[in-house]
Amino acid sequence: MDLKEQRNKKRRMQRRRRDHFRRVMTAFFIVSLVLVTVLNLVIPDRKFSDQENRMLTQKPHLTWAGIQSGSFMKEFENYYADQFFARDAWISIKLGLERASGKRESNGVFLGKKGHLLEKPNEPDWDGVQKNMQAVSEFAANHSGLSTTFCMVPNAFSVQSQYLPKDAPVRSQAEDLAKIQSMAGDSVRFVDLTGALKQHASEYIYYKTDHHWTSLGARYGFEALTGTLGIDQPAADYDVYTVAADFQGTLASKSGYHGTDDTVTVYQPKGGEQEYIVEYADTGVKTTSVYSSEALKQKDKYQVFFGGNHTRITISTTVANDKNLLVIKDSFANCFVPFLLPYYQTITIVDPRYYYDSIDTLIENNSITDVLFLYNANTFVQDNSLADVIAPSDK
Amino acid sequence: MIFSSIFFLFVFLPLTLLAYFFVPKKAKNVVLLICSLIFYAWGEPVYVLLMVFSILYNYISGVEIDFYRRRGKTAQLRFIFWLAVGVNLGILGFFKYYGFLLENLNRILPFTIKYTPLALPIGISFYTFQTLSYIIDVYRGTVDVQKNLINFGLYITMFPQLIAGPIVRYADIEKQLTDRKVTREGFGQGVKFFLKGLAKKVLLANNIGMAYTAISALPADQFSTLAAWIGAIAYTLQIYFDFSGYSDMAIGLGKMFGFTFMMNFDHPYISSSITEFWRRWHISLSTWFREYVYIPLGGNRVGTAKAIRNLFIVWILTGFWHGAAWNFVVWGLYYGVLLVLEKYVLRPVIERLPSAVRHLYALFFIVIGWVIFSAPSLSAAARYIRVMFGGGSAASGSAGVYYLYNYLLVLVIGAVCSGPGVTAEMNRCIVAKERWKRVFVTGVYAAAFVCSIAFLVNATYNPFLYFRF
Repeated sequence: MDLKEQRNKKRRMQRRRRDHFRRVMTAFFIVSLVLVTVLNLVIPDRKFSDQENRMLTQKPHLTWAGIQSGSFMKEFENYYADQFFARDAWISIKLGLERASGKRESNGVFLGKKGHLLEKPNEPDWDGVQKNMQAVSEFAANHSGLSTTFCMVPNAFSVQSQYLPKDAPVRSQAEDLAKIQSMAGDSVRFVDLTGALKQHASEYIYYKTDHHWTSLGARYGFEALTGTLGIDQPAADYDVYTVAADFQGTLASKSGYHGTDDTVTVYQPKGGEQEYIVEYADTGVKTTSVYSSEALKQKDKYQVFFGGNHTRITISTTVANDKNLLVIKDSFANCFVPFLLPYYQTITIVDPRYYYDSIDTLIENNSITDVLFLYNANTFVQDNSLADVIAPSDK
Repeated sequence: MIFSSIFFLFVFLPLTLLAYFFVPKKAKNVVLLICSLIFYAWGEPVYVLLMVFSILYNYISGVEIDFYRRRGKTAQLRFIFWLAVGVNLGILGFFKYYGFLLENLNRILPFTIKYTPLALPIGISFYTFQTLSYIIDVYRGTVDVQKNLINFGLYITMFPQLIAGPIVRYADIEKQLTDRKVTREGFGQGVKFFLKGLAKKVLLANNIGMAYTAISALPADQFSTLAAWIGAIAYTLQIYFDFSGYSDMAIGLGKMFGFTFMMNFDHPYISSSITEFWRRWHISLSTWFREYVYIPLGGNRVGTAKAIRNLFIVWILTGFWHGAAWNFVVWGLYYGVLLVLEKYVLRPVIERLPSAVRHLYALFFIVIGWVIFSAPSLSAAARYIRVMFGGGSAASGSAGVYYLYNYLLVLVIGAVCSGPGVTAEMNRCIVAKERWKRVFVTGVYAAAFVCSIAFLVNATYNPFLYFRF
């Protein structure tokens, strides 16, 4: 009897504790729902997330068509998640948990060694590459009077593979570049900077938190190109100015890891400042500097070079050597072009991703003598804008 | 709408709970029905009309079947019954298998029929089976007809189990539709289930799933045997946590509104045979097939040849239910073969094996099964399995090592949590004498909720595998 009573008592105690636990769960859940809902209502919406470097979804407008297609619902869900209170803190919790679990990549970015973030290689779109390279080679053949150079900049995951997480699976960019070179044909001088940059692999030639090369990387690239470009006496000494020491680039935003800061520097050949005029076709602005100090107040400090990408930029220098260069490029050229200033009378820069006018007319009007294509490989293998822009205009 | 979303958790659910508990008892079913229709329409604004049609049609069919059954008019009864079965299966077949049928017809026909593949109405496979269980049971006279349209509509659309089960049979829930109550304790039990399911889905399934996604996207020259195994194991764990997590959330939400749904998963990966696995995996589906296909065909109370035929019919249908693609059919057949073998040949052998070997045997075939299941096509599945056994794998295994580093911890946690030990220990802590244990387990649930929210706020990867079905 005693034993049975004891057992019953134990069971009763257990039931009491279980019921207590369940009531606690109820209270916890209801309070959480109410608290979060109220906080979300009270805290004002944000337009832009500095940490993620993107515009946040705003409250969508309610329309009948939007409901019918379901797009209103989709957008409202995005809006609610984007404007969730303390969004940045929640993201930090998530990233902390992921990192603690041993993950070495986040949202397409390798979390490499020594604070280096590295872009993951893109899967090449070989049809697109073939089309682009054929267009380049035809372009060079059609303009045999011009000296045409095609320069490929390799990416950090290829050049600085020592910073990759251990055993990270990356495709061989050197092989991809060899394949691209074989598509280029004889009419164009193809320069692959992999070798030149690999010699300096241990130096600060790529940003740790951004996918671009640094000005130092661009300088080594420039020095490797002088021969091909026919630049006889390139500057040997530069004054180096640090313009920002707290740069957190695109890879930091993409991955969410904000552990390291990058330094942005500017190189100027020793011995006297050069004078020139920079003209932006899209904004109509004329300035006397390729650097934008405005950009240093922004999040993306790589924009200090030309203030970012533009459809067309024309630089007129005081050099009178009748060498007029056309640069067809992606954003890797932005910190590279300043090295070219002392050697050309004019430099015209075109970004095919935003440029839709006739290249032939541009060549004629600007008396172009030299053409330089400059792309980073990881973007180029997925580019689909170059071929159309440089194709001969049908007249 | 899916449960594991910020919007569901902090907009839909609070509003629904508020409305549900605010209105008087009589109106509760109406509120729940309306909320369920909104829930469905949120992701499928147009297909909600199909759902409404389905409710009305089956409601009327049920009443008619009951009417003719009571009058003993067998001919009319049979006609209405088979018409209802045909219409329900016809709708399911049209939306789910139309594209598949035409695709295969085009392969064999000398001419090509043009077609635009239809979007699959979410949850159609689940709610069709629910309505069928009602129609069949009314026809058999094992349940009473539901004359209240609201209650009937609620049975079909009830949002907790609407889109991914469990497949609740009408007989199991008939009483609860009119007579149920919610206590603070019952609600808390629901919260417990829901938070457990949410964590399974958001913390385990999604994170483990990323390993499979990354590995199956590896180019052939990096796809090594090690990587293939990690990928297959990752998918095995992902689909379990994904689906059982969803079921737990459904059961938990049901409890919050006073409903009790059947358990849908019972730690399937501790099984020591394939037969046992299917007793523990997606129990509501297996029950449905047993109840409405296997037993009506004669089950195993017929000659061996017929019993084997019955098993194969059930398993081909089970495979096909999962999706309109050949690999699902093969996957069903694969289990048909394994189950027949176990039943008629292997059983005495298996029973004599040491338990560790039996577990390995079961897990091996389960993992291979998921490879067939998850592959985009049969040939892709064959390629994948070939690499698992060393055929045509990449020379360097570094990608496999890399993903092992990345996912080892979540895979281990996943493997541990897929067993019954963790839940049992937590439940012991809830009733433990020591106060700190009880506080600790409360903290675990709270932390799981916080972490789940953190992952949902920044969700880049949040698929529901069972939404295709």
